Amino acid sequence: MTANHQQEARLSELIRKSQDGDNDAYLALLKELSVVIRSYVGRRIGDTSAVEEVVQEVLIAIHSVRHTYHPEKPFFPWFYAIVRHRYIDYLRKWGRIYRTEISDSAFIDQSPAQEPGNSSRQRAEEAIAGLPMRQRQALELLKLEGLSVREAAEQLNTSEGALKVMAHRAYKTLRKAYRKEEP
Amino acid sequence: MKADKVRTQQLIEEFASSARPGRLLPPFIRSIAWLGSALFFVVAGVVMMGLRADFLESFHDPHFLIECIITLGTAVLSAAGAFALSVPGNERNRWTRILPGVAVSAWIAFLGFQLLHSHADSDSVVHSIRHGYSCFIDIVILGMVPGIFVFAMLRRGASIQTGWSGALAMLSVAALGALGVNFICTAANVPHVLLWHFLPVILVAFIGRALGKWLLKW
Repeated sequence: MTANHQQEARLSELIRKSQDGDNDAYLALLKELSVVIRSYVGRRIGDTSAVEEVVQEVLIAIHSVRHTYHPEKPFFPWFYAIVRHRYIDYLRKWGRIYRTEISDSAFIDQSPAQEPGNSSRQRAEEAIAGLPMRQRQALELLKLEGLSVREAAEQLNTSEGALKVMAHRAYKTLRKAYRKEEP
Repeated sequence: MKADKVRTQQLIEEFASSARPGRLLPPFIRSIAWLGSALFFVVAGVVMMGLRADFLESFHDPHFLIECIITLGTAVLSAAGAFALSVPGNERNRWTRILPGVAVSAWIAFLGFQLLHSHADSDSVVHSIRHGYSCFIDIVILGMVPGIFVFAMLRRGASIQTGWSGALAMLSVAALGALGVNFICTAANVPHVLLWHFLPVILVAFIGRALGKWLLKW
């Protein structure tokens, strides 16, 4: 039996146990999978923070569809199908955002908000408007409407974990935007 | 970078502490369960809409029987394909798409063969083509409840090829509807069957493709 087969058998056993309600097995599974995903994505993306973003996306996906795995089937085809799916989603999403950001920044360059005397409120509004839709919604529900994580997750029809990730990314993007603008 | 990794670690711990046990039944079992319930609804629908008066005699017609078997085969194979595709990794198995394709091809070949050898008079053909849209409506009505069920069941899965899943699911739903319509409709000429029984099934499958992309995203 090769190391690859041994790893697959071990991961298959861990997910089987986790499907039966063993949360320690699930913790061990996710920890091991995060290393495998990081290695897979890291070979394809140079940007290390982007790699971590994809790792989180894949972990969220695995968490939400782990019940679809059948223990009698090999683990890796199931697992890598999810990894590839989320990785391609990520590439598509960033392709779209990149195109949108170019058009937005061209618009902002010509807008009065970039002129001297621009208020911090305007800057905040622009930065929020530039966020991807789901991140913006997460931020608005949590910070402007003051909903709890659970309530906001329900409104966006997503899990609490996924909502936290969205909000976290929104804060990160806003922080970066502010740092760039500071003299 | 370090903060990102910490966040990943937090995410893992959060997931592990909130995980609940659960496992889907294998796709084959789920497709059998769905087909059983769908057939029940189709039979009930046919009985309510009114069986054709000569349905017992129609069982003595080999053409009718072959068409029913091919239609049922299309429904079974496409349902099996749709449910198989609801599990990540199964999209690599081409048979999930090839087998329903074979069934549809057999259906086309059978209708084509019948068309070449049919001797119906042109007046009755024109009449049944012009007034055949009710068969299309019957297919849609018969497939309504099974269609809702199949999407509800597929949404529990995680299809990578959502378009294919949706198309195969609706192909199965519409084929079952067409099977039911065979026991309602008395127009036996081939152009009518081709236009109002077969083509609606293909049309519904295309609609299913769009529905799948929309409803089966995860």
